[in-house]
Amino acid sequence: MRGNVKKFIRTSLVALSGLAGSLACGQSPAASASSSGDAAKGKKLFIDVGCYYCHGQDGHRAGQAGKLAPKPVPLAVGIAYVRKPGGQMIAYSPKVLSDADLTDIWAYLRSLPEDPSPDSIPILKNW
Amino acid sequence: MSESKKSSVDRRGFLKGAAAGAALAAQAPLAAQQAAGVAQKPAPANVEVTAEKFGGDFMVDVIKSLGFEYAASNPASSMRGLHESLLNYGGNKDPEWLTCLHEESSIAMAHGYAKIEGKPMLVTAHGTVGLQHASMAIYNAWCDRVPVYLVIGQWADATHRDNYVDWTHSVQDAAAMVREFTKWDDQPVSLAHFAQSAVRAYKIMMTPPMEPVLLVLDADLQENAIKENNLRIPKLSMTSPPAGDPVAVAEAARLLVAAENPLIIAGRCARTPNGSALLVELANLLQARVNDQRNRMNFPSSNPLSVGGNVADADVILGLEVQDFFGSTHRGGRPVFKQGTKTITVSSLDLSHKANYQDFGRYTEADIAIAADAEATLPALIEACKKLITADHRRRFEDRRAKAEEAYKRAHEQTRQAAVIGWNSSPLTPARVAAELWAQIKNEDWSLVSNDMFFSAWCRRLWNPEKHYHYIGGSGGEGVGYGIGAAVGAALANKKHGRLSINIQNDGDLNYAPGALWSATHHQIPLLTVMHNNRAYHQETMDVQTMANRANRGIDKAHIGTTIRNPNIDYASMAKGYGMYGIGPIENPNDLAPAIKKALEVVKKGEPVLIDTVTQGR
Repeated sequence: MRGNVKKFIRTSLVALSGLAGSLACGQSPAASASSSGDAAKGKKLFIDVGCYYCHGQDGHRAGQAGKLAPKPVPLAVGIAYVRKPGGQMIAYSPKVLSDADLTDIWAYLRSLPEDPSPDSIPILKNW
Repeated sequence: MSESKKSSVDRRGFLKGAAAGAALAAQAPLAAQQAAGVAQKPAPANVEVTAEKFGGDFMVDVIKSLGFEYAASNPASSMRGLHESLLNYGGNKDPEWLTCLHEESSIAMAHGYAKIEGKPMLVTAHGTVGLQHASMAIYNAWCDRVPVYLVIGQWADATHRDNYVDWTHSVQDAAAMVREFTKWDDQPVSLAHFAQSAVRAYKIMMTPPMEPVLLVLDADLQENAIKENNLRIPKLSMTSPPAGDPVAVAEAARLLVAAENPLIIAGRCARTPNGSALLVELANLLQARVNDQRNRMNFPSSNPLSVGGNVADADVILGLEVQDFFGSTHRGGRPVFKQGTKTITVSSLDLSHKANYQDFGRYTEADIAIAADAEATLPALIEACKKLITADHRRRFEDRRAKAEEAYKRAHEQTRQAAVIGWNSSPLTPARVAAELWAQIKNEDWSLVSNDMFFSAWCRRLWNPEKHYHYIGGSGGEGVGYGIGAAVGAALANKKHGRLSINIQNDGDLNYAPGALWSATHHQIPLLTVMHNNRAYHQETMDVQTMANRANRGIDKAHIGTTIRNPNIDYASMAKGYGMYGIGPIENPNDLAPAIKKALEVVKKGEPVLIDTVTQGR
């Protein structure tokens, strides 16, 4: 079991970077969303369900997982990916996270602010 | 009582007598004891307790000859003879006793100290139970190929075991428990034997691959008056580190110079500061990228060759003291490198093997395998390369350099962009913590005395590690509980050099043996500890989450057994409880810079400080 997990983690690292890119660079969410979702419920789900373990408390990423906020991929793309992900992430079935739940999470991610530019941060500007 | 009879009375006999008296006294009612004057009673008047010199004193003579600065120890009855001799006969100097609250801390302190100072600490511990406590830390040190000199005590003569505790703390072959992850051990039966074995142990330990050694000391041998004549301390003759066979080195040089895209993978390559300098010389000579696995501070991150070292692109790969060369060059059992790529390994690990613990990794099918110490082999390899390099080679190497510099610029900007992700988040991102620290320490003579792997390596990515003490690598065995002890030991080594020691401390790790915080305070060891307080065994949280989700059972219970919440641990208060200056918890990222400023003021006065920063998972 442990060996499988290790193998799973190893083989998915490359795919993860692709996931991060697709999540961050998707088309305008509004163009494909069928529902706006409930950001407050989404935040609770994000924390309670445990998305933050890999993606960070507010979807900004925590280590190896993809950056989700504040520009998640279109909702339909996101739902499709969660049902059949690549890389390190494992699939979430509708039994665990319904489409409605994912819509709320998506709304939460969209509600989060942009990260600052490194040039706006003195520590990083001249680093 | 004749003089000879007096001198033959041993210290253990006195201690036994005193203990028996105390036990009898304890059984009597307190009032009766006071009435009889038992509580004030000194040692029995008819027992002569002094002697010219005890066995422990001679042991101290031997220990001093080996140049130990410190003895990191938790006290033990079976080591009381040597303990007393170290303090009084030895003057508690060279080695100075470091009071440790757990044997795991003792070994971890020695582990961290050795990686900064390049030489071992003495560690003393109780046989059996003390060694059992120490065993995890010994395993870490062994996996990390770090010298630790451990002596443990027990009563070898069964007729001298007086009570249940003496028996439960005695063992026929004490070293057996850790023999599979120590380099050598012995159980001397005389002081002359001790002298031989003590010097031999030091020599074996310090010959690459360096590993812990263990001596089992009979308590009677420590405590009894010296009866042996003509005791002497053998001369320590250190073994020169084994260098590679010249023919194999020449062939390796031929492959490296001819390579289109050579790659150097550095594991525990730099044993000393010179090891890093030699690696830089070789890389610059060949303009070869270096994949530094950061088990040691091998290669400066400011060198453009430090980025972009890609196994898949290499046509010749040189592994220098790489623990798991197969794992470093393969995925899923298949090579990452292209067909025809030549592989060269230089490793002292090929000179020393054990069977039970499997840290040797999968068998490597190297084209050239040089069983030797990498640092000792590098001078010959560099010279062999120089002899082969022509003007044509140099032009090709310059092209490689230009590409490396372009890649370095790209990587630099990518790091800057990645650092701002979640910049204003709470809990704090590791990148924010590392950046805020760097802003205030970059002009100091700093030393990162911890592994920042679970901090997404943000210190190594944002700071500028160049000198050998800028980074000390990880635990080796990945056994939790190493962090704070190793940091305190490393900080102690840095103290006399006036360096600023920084410890990124994982919360789960700290809770294994937090008593090292007290040792840092007690011995006035300046150290800034910054908590990576993600309130979880984060990797395990994700592991259980993965398993639960794979089973389609939901992940709402993955936190059970893997998170450290409810209640949240107040690490600043914990530090204060150990007498240390504590700050936090810091949850607002804007509070971090002032906290670091205050902490550095205190550390520069020579005290340890802990800042509790509540952080993201990684």
